[in-house]
Amino acid sequence: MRTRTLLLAVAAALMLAQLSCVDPEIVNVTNPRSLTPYPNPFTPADPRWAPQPRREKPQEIVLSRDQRRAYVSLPGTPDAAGHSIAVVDLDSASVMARIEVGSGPQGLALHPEGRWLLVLNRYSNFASVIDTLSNQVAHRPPMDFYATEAVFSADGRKLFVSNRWLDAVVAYDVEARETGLVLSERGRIPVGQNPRDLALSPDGSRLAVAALTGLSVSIIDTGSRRELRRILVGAPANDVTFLSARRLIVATTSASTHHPALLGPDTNGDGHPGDGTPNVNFQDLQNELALYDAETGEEEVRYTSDTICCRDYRDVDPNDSERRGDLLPPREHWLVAGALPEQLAFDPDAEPARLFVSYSASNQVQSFLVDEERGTLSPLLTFATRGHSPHGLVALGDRVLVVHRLSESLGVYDADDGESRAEILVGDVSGGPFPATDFEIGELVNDVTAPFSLDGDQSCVHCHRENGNIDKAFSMPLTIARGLGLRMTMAYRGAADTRPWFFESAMDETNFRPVINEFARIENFCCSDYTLWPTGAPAGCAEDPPPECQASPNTSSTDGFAPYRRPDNDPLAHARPTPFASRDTFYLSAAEQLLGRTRSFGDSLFFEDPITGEREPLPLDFDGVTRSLGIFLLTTTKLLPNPHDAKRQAVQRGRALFESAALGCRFCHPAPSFAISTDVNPDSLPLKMGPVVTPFRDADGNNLDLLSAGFLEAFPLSEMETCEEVCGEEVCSADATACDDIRDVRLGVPSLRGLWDRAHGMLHHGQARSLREVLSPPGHPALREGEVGRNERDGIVDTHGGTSHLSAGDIEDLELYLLSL
Amino acid sequence: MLRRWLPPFCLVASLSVAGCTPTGPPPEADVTTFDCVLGVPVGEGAFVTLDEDNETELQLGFQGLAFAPVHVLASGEVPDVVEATFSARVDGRSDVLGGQQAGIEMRTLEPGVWLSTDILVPVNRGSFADYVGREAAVAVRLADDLRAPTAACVSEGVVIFVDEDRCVHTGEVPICPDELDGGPEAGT
Repeated sequence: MRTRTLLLAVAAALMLAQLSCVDPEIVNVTNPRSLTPYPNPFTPADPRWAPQPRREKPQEIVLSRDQRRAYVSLPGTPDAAGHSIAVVDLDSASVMARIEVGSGPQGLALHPEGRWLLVLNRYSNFASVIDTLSNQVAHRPPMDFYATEAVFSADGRKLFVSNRWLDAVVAYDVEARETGLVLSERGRIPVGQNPRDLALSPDGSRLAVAALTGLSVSIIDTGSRRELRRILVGAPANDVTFLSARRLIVATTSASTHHPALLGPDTNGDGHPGDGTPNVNFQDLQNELALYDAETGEEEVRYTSDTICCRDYRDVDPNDSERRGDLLPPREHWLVAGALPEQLAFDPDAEPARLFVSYSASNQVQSFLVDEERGTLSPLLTFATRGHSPHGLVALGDRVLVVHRLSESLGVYDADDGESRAEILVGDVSGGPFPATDFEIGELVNDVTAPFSLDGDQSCVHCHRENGNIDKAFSMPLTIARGLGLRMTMAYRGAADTRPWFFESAMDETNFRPVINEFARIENFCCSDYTLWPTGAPAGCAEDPPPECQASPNTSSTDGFAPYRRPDNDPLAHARPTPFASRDTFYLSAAEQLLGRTRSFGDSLFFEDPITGEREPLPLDFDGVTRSLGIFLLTTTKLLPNPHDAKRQAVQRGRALFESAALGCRFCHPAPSFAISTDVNPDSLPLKMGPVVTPFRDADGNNLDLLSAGFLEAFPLSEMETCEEVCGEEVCSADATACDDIRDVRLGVPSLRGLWDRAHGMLHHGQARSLREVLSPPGHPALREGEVGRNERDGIVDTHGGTSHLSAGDIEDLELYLLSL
Repeated sequence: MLRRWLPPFCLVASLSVAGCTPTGPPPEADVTTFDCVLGVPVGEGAFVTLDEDNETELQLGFQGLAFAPVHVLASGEVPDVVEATFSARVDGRSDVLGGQQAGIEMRTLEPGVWLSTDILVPVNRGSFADYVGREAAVAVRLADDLRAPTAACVSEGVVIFVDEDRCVHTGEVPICPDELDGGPEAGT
């Protein structure tokens, strides 16, 4: 009896002791949930399917307070999310721990007191707070899906979290306790679409929020938690940091839409036509660092690519007054050495202050001296990273740490000379070093395209950020009206069951010859320069270039499209941009340098003998590299798991509307892909059809959506009415453009799956600014002030679904359903 | 080489007379084989086999993409739309041109006979001079679905690459050699 009493007393004491350690304000999520990836329709039944290695895709990095440890997030991919972060001991250059957290951990923020590390789990409804003393998860505060990046105020009492799904910043009050962090939400501040990186001003009064898809930077007053202004950057804002109390720097790309200078649509609303530099189409794609006054929003200076001129034959020379070379940015601004400025690391304590920039598309890091008083940058050093696709970086005095996202490693480099001091594996290379498969070759080409471009400036992911799209429509070379049309950027997710691809439904993996072709046009290579060889280059030219290849300058252009060989000694004639005499030899060399190989692995990318069925790997020349991109598109969905609650009543009402015969949505957008494709077409509808909305026209009524004859020949899947079909031979023989106002191009049906994460600009020309505009005919009560109903074709309503009879509430329900797809 | 016109009624006969019985591996289970032969369309509604005319024009087209178009004539239970796997082994060259193409329409030439739309063999390696005048052994396999075929055929033949149209069709307006003789008008 005495023993039993004693035991009971001890148990009670223990319970009391435990209870006193529980802080009721340290909240844990009560119903932890993680989003499920979309099912992948690309299966082993497809002969191009191959098993893929597991990868963690390390992305962000923060240092411990004593700077002896680094924490690296391992988010994985949307199809195969990661669930951990790596803890790296910098002294021994090794991983000392891996900590299990939620799904898709990306953003990291260390509380200024140094003990608590906040990990944001993109695909979970909670964050993870890690006790850095024990490297254990202390608690899991609830947080919305798609919390992306975070920053604490210097005193640790405020927290700001960007949320990609909500297009907002969530503000918290913070109290650090013995057992974790108390986070009290204080408000949600709307910002640009798909915000990612954030930065606080040195005095903490201003928060800058970079919007990846929304092409803007929001300046927020942290006291009132209000957006003070939204700076329109005109291009994805990849990262942002304060260089001084009010001077902001943004890692971005060019703001233009690639139309000729002074021609084409006014896409930025400044009242002037044409929003490009004199360079046209993809030659107008540059890499930029933009400095702004955060208080006024004024752009102070915008540094651009050091190769803005004169590599490609279409580049405009600043001295070429006929082609408005004077409109190019001044030469002293041509400082940016790499492709796709991704992340910034400012070291204000260095003497003088130094800025590092990672270039994810060219495997480079560049450093600059920062003149804080004048607000200028001077380039110091550019070095190549040992790993692929550098993202997160940290300046650490004499070192700079760089996360190599595709190579699964963390690089440590000398900050002064760029020499590699260590490369630490933080991710997963159990399936072999990256790239290990043909899919991974395609992924590398997609993300690090610059080595395959002549000026080293361009990549697929400049505009297809995170394989989605950005809120911009561009001039595209496939249209008949050169430099005047518009095509909305497409998100290339969910490609396996939505073939053929492009708005024109012109391509699949068998003939995938996309824009990469524009990055290294044949005219720039001696042996395919038909202005040099009007009757064709001699046989064996590529293997044994004739003397003309050394002696002759590059061809040029008078309009940014057609080539033109300048007279001898013309000062505007430029040297060839490459010593390679053919594009194939250029590509093979680039593949050797970037990939370490000149042939595919043969698991998905192969030549198949039509007689014997035997397969062999493909050479990674132009054909092989472009086809690797097709394999990349096919193999995984890349669809971001959908956070919307499909069970909501409003969503179910919307679904009923969508599936009703009266609206007709489901016929052209059938589940599960919500597009008509070669794989999904239950009603056997044509894969392409005439426009269901008013085409994009010029002031004379000409249809600027029409396709060029060359595009139609090269891509037989594309379709367009001919002049003769519409107006007859007699009219068209006199004037081939006679019916450009009434003939149509036939477009495919884009998929609605993943719509929730796409840019606001919609329809093929990007002119619809919201789903409401897409769904509603003109004047519909669902439209908000300033919105234009676009469910009409030249004045006939309901050409894109029968919606005019719907109420505003119905349209809203339909919209919610579409966002749940 | 002169092209000789075959009256339409000869077309079907040509499939069996011209040594063009289907070749290739034994048909897979549940795959229906139809007849096909490589050749060249001539004008409206006519077609010659490679025995009659095997010149294949090399074309430099949109954005500088280079192709040699080939065509297949088919009879039997022919799908409306087919996919192709093809190869071209060029005399004197070690590389094999090849690839796949989807969405090839089979258009009725006459009852029971269908002609494919262009099957574009990419010729992006080397200059045209590396191919002009050379023979290439071409093989084309057509199927309703290359991944899971239920109907297929294979045809083979020998073509000679020519480059008679020296104009370049990279843009909307062809650029021809006599326009490339310097001066600001050249190339526009």
